[in-house]
Amino acid sequence: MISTAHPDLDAYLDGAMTDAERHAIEAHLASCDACAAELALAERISEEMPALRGQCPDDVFDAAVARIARLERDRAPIRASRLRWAAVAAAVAVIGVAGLQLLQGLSSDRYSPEEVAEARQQIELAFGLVGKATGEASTYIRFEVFPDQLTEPRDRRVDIE
Amino acid sequence: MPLPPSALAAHRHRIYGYALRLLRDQQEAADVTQDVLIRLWRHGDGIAPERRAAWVMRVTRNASLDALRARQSRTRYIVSHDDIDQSILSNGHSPVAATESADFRALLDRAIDDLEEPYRSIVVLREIEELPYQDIADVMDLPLNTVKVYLHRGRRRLREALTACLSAEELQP
Repeated sequence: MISTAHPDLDAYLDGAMTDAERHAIEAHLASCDACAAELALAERISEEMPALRGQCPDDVFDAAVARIARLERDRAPIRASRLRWAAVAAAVAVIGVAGLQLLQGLSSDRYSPEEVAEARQQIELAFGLVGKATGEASTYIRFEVFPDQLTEPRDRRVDIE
Repeated sequence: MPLPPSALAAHRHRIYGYALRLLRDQQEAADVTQDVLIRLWRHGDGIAPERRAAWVMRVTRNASLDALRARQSRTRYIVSHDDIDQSILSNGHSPVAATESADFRALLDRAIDDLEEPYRSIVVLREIEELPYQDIADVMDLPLNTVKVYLHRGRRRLREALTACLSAEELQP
């Protein structure tokens, strides 16, 4: 019958002992059949453990990859819409900055009053178009990019978060 | 940025193996595995590679416990919150019998399943999945020294269980 495990057996197996402690244990094991048998059992258990590692079936992993691919496809239209919105916003910003710089330039003395008036008219027309584009972008964002978040949630499977 | 599927493959076996140890049901383990892989796909890029194994096992443990609670809800088995880990993870198997199988590996496999939590999880995470002690402490949400004490107890209980069903000749070194 095997006795209660020696309290240092696991530490001995893990190599977590000083040389002196290890020698003392080995001297004990040489004269104690019960502890020697238990150590042999512990070593045999340790050798067999890696073989007990679980093996995920291929169909389980393939199903997860397929679900991920579907999630990727669902995300793609939203990413494309957001890129278009970002491009619109960037274009509006560039036009706005350019228009302001033009107005500042028109305050100089290089141009006649008629030239300045015509240029201002053109710039105001451009700003009007920018404002219209901004409004359309806002509408686009509201009804195309984030329709679900701003109105009713889309009926889809809720993924675990 | 989501992880590519190739990076998920490295964790598939440990996720499935640990879920199966906790759930003892292949279909539920498969469901948990898929859910954990998707979470890893979503969030794995923000986790340092050397920390991903511990993160994955922690998520697997939590998802498996959720699945066990859901199973119990379906069977109308009510447990107190304090006892839930122990009661839902306790083994319903009969004691390992020496006459069932002479195969040591099969006996060891069964003895692991017979261990109570948290000893079973800690033995699996250390001896099979070979996680560092600190990673196991993170997965189990236990202090490091507690993990070492529990591992010692789990190993001892395994030896006692196997000693009970192996012959004296088989136990000789």
